[in-house]
Amino acid sequence: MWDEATQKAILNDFDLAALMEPGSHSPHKTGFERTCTKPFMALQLLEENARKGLIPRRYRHELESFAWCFVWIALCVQSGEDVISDSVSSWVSGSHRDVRDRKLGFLTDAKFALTPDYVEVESLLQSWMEYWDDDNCKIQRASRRDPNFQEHPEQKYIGDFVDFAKQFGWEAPFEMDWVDVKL
Amino acid sequence: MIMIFQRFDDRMIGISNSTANMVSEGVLKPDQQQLMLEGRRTFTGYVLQEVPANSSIPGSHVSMPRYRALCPPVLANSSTLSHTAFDSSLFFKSAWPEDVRVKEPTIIAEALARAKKYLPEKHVSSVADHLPRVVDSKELKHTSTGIIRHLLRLSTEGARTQVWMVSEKLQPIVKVNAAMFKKYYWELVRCMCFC
Repeated sequence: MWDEATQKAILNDFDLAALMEPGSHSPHKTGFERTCTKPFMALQLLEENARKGLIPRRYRHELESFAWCFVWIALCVQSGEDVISDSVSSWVSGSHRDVRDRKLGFLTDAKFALTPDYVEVESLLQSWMEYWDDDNCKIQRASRRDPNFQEHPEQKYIGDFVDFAKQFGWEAPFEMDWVDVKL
Repeated sequence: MIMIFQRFDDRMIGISNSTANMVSEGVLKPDQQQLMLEGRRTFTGYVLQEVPANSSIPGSHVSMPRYRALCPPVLANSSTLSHTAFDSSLFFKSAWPEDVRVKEPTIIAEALARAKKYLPEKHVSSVADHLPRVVDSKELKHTSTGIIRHLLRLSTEGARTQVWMVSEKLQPIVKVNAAMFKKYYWELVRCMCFC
C-alpha cells in the first residue's frame, strides 16, 4: 500500500504475521489458521509438505512472494487501473496443488503477457522466477540427500535478488546494504 | 452445540476463504476449508466520527468508542450522516485472530520498537516510515469464542477474539505510475529486509 500523506510505501496487513526471536531463521508455529493468498505464495509453500507444516517458513519465501506480487501487478495493472489477465485468473481459485501447478505452468510460458506499463521488466521477472524455481529444486534435492542440510543464509537471497534487478536495469534507487546487528 | 447453531440464520454460516490444518479422529488433515459464522470474517470500513451536526471534526485526538465503521454502500444511503462526520483519513479493520496469535497492532508496535533498538540510526526510518500508523486498537475480550466453549466444557483451543484497529488510510500501491512503483517496491523490499 501507499501513504498519500507521506508519499511512502507501506508494508501492510500483519494479521497472520508472527514475531520471531531475534536471530532465529523461521517463526515458531502458532495456531491452526493458515490463511494465505495463493497467487502470491512461494511455490514451496504451496506444496503438500508445507501444508502439513513440514517446511519451515523462511525469509526467502517472503522474498519470492514479493516477486510474485510484482508478476501479478505487471500482468494486471495498466495506468494504475486493474485489467483482466487470463494468466492469473486461474491462480485465485482451486487447491494449493492446483495453484502451484498453474504457476509452474506460467513459468514455462515463452512470453509473459505483461501490460505495456511493465513490459520492460519481462526479462527481469522471468529471471527472478526461474531463480526461485531452480532454488526450490536444489534445496529439495539437497534436503532429501542430507536431512541436516543447511540452507544459504538470508543475505545470499537478498543479494541475488538485488543483483538480478541491477543486471536488468531495474536496480533499487538507493543502497540495499545488509546490516549486521548485535543482538 | 447443534442447538446453538440452529439459532443462526443460514446466511450467517458459510465456508471461509481461509483453510486450516485440522486434527480429525487423531489424523492431521492439512488445508481444510473452514465452516464458520460469516460474522467472524475480517471486514474493513470507513470511519465515521460521531459529532454534533454543526460541529467540525476536532483535532487529531481519537478514542476508539467514538468511532463507527460503515461499509461504503451503507455510508452512501445512511440517514445518520447529518449526525456524523466522515473522517477520510482513517480506516477501520475488524478481525478475529486466534487467541494464541500475537495481534496485528502488537506486531506493528514490536516491529517499530525492534527497528529503534537494533538498527543503526540512519536505517531506522527504512522501517519506521513504512509501517502502518495505528491510531487506536482494542481487543474485545467479551467476544472471545473461548467463553462459550469454556461454558460448554469444550476445549478452548483455536478460540478467537475480535480485534478492532483504526489506522491511517492507505492507497493501493498499483495506483501510482510505473516509475514511482519502482521506488515504492524497493522501499518495501528494504523494509522487509530490516523487519
